[in-house]
Amino acid sequence: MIPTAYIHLLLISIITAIACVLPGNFLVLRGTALISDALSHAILFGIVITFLIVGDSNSPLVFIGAISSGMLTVCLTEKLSSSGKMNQDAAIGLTFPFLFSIAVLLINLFANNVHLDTDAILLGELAFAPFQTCYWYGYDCGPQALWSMSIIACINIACITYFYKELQLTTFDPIYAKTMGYHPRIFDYMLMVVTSITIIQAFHTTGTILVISFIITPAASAFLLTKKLDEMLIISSLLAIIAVLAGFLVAHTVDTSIAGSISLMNGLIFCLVMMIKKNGPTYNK
Amino acid sequence: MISIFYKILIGTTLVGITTGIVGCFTLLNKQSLLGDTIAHATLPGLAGMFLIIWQKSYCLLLCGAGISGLAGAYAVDYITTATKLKKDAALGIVLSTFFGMGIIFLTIIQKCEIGNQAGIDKFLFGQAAMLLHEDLIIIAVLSSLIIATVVCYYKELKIIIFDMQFAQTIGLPVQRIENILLIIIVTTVLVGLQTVGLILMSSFLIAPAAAARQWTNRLEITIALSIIFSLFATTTGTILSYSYPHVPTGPVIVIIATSITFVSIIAKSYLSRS
Repeated sequence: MIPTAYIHLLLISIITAIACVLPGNFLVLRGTALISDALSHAILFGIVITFLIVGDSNSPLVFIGAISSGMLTVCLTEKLSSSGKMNQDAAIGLTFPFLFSIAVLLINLFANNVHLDTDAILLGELAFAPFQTCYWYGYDCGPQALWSMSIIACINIACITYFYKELQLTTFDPIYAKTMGYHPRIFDYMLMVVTSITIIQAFHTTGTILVISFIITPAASAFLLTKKLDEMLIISSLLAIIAVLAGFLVAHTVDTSIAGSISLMNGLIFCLVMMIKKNGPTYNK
Repeated sequence: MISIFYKILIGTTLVGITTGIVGCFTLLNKQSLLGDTIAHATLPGLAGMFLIIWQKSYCLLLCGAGISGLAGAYAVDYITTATKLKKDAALGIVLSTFFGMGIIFLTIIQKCEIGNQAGIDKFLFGQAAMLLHEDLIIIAVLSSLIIATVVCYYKELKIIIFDMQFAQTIGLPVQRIENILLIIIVTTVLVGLQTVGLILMSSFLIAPAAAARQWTNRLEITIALSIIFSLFATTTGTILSYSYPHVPTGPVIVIIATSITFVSIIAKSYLSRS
């Protein structure tokens, strides 16, 4: 008999996977995948600042602080890469360690004995996620993370289905999209907001590394398997779910970190796909 | 015996010099985030080596870290050449997969009595205060090796960075020199592992070089300025973290170095406007 906590954990991971994979596809196609790395480190800055002001790590204000620091990162990198003599990856690499360092420093100075553990944030504490349950008029409604993550996943699915054509156009041909009267910038920012929200929520449950893994790796594997965007979205979600299941098996047998195992499985699936489809799908031009 | 403060200072100074030099090459070669990926990719090597030897031998741990860091760098290279994926996707895949593997090993280590005390997790954020005498010697040897290699191959590296096609035309062994550059980057990451930690390593490689790049177009001057900025940041950072409790060394240095870069960019744009 499998305990319910374990099933909840599995559900949380699968829903997190789907929520991360969907915007991840667009990030990978746009060549801005590493912004997820930057965002996942930088939002710690927003979380710490709002935590120090409000004094409560569960306040909704923390969420807003995290989103604003995510947007700050995006703006800073753009500003840096357009003004200074540096390309985009240097700008990303300059911004996020800076904000992350300030966050670590603030934690060390003011919140040393509070529950804001840098290791836990990086490595993830997925195993504890099912035990923070939420109550609705006294009824046990299951883990809080399950609900919040499902909401985020629904938002992502809704955004992508509603703006599917626009996102597709601005991703593959931004110049044409502009002449058609769409504003690529608006969709850039929309994608960043959606990604930030997803990362912030996922970050509480799975830790930054698994978030980066979910955003980039399944989408990259799917990219090698198909040349249609809708197929890519579906294949990447399926691959992520397979990775979650395989990761759980590994973590259970070796008795180790679930987040680490799932990241490794994502990577191994990518490896397998790369071995089979070495040069990617053939593009007819 | 030298006091603990000077030990930390020597450690961070060595890191400052090497990252100051190597950072210029990675920045100009558009490989800035490769440093981040390599730094994260060293974790499985570190933890895996500990799982094999079960003792804290700094030299062997660094060997493990070096091997897995190099493997990560080549994996990025392979993915970008074998598939149509863009480079940032390749970097992200390697970073998350290797770090995931590292976390698996780390969790296994932490579950054991002896492993929990070894402090392998201290490599994540670095702990300059734990530097031993022997560690310093290893760091010094690695740093001098890096500097010697850069001096030896200076001309070749310069040509490769600025004009790859010219380098191929005049018959330089491009592949070999690129490999040398990769090995230099991996070794630089190893130098910084103990003092700054693998999470913040990339910033050390980027910030001083990016600040120096604002002021000049000549490679020699960029490197010189980058070393100066880097040393300023490491020295003040070390003094600050030593004089105040609860101030971690790595993050403070990163904050100072990045502030220098921001000031440089703002000052430069202000000067060129007026």
